[in-house]
Amino acid sequence: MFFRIVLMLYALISMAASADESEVDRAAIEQGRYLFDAANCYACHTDVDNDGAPLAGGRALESDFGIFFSPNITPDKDTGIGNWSDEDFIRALILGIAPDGHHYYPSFPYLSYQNMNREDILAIKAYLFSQPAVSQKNKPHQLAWYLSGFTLRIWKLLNDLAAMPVTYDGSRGSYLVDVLGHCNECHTPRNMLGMLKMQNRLEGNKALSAPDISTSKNGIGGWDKQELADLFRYGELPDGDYVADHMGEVVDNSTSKWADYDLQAVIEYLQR
Amino acid sequence: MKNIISLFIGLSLTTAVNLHAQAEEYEPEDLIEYRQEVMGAIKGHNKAVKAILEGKVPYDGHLDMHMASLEALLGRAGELFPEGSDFGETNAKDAVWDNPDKFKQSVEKAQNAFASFQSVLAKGDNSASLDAYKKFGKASCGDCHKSFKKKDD
Ligand code: HEC
Ligand code: HEC
Ligand code: HEC
Repeated sequence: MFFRIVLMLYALISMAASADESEVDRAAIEQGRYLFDAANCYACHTDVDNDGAPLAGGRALESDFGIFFSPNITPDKDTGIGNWSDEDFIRALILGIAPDGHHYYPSFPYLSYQNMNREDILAIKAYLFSQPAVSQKNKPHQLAWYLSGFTLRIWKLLNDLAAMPVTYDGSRGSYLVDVLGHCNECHTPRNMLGMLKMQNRLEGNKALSAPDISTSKNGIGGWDKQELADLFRYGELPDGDYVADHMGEVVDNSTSKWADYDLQAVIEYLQR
Repeated sequence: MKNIISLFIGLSLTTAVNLHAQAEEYEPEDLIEYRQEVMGAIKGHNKAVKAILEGKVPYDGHLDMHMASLEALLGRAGELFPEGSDFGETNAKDAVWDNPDKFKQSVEKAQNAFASFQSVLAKGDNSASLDAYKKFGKASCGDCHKSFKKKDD
């Protein structure tokens, strides 16, 4: 009898424990999905125009330096990142370095993501690994002749030495704007070498048609809180037009999904 | 005989020219400008609806007029993008013509979103209407601009 009770208790406890664990997993996946949306990983890694499978890559990202084709980041073991360890994933997002040691081009915005928390990165990984694996080979980039692994390493070195790092002040608003939302990647101008000119932070990048969103008069200085909220929630501009193209995707995938407190944090951060 | 042949050639030429004329009779710049003006009109009615719903102007009696105009204009939005109006000072993306099925879906989505907005509006609850206005904008104007409009260079 005693033995049976012990056994029953044991079964109950282990059941509770495993329920706890899957609960924790589910919470991490949920949190990961929220962060994944805020970081808009979907847009670059899905070939939306050609009805590509979600996260299987192959989207053409045009730039002054040629066309980048985003890689497959589904958990497929052969063509995706199914074999990656936690450390591999963290190193890619923070340092821009692949498991085999090669450097990524900054078309992957790791210079913004470098300030992400470890926990958040792992939550994103948990979410990615909960998604369907898709077998789809990566396409090689089509880049200018002078770009190679070697010039890329020199670029990264120069960038570390000469360029100011992407701002991050530790606030929630800054985390959403500068880190996850990588707004600087489009809205901050770049020099001839493609390095962000952080001294002109958020003052716009003509090459990408991304307007000035600094607090100046040319930027969003004259916008009130409601106008900013309507833009981020619905894509509606103060003049009644609706944002197009890239910002349309940012609104649809990212900013419209911010929780209310995050929306408020961003508005407060952008207006100061 | 010679005359008959030349008449014949002439006839076949004119039919060929006629077929072509459909697309080339009109200047692309004019088609594009017309399209942009109509989009501007859509924007105007849409903004007017917003101002009324927000209670910023005393024109409640204009609401039906703006809604009817919006419905009519959105109903014909698909006609604003004929072949040959893709080249020039336009912010329409090539995808409008490269991917006509998707574009058609986007037009229909906008019309459906308008119908949902209209049915909320009919219930007369102001804050629900304002909310529906915003959702309509995202699902119609926002959705189509995301896929088919580019930003000015
Ligand atoms: C602005 C576009 C863009 C965004 C946003 C973006 N990526 Fe990428 N990502 C790329 C490109 C381009 C590459 C390939 C870079 C290279 O080959 O040098 C890449 C590479 C990667 C790799 C390496 C894959 C491999 O097979 O080596 C991973 C992992 C990755 N991204 C994950 C993410 C995650 C997670 C997010 C969101 C937090 C994200 N990316 C957001 C463009 C983007
Ligand atoms: C992939 C590039 C890209 C990213 C990333 C991006 N934007 Fe934009 N943004 C644009 C473009 C392009 C426009 C112009 C869109 C239009 O008017 O149709 C724009 C427009 C805007 C506007 C409207 C400005 C105006 O004067 O009309 C605001 C505000 C804005 N973005 C804020 C942000 C914030 C905040 C983030 C980060 C969460 C962000 N953007 C990320 C490209 C981007
Ligand atoms: C089915 C697609 C579609 C829908 C729906 C749509 N638009 Fe547009 N809109 C476009 C395209 C494409 C352009 C670019 C036209 C061009 O430059 O030739 C445009 C251009 C515009 C312009 C700029 C006109 C100019 O002067 O250059 C405004 C303003 C605008 N739209 C507002 C709206 C509003 C407001 C709505 C919703 C009530 C809306 N649009 C719905 C596709 C759409």
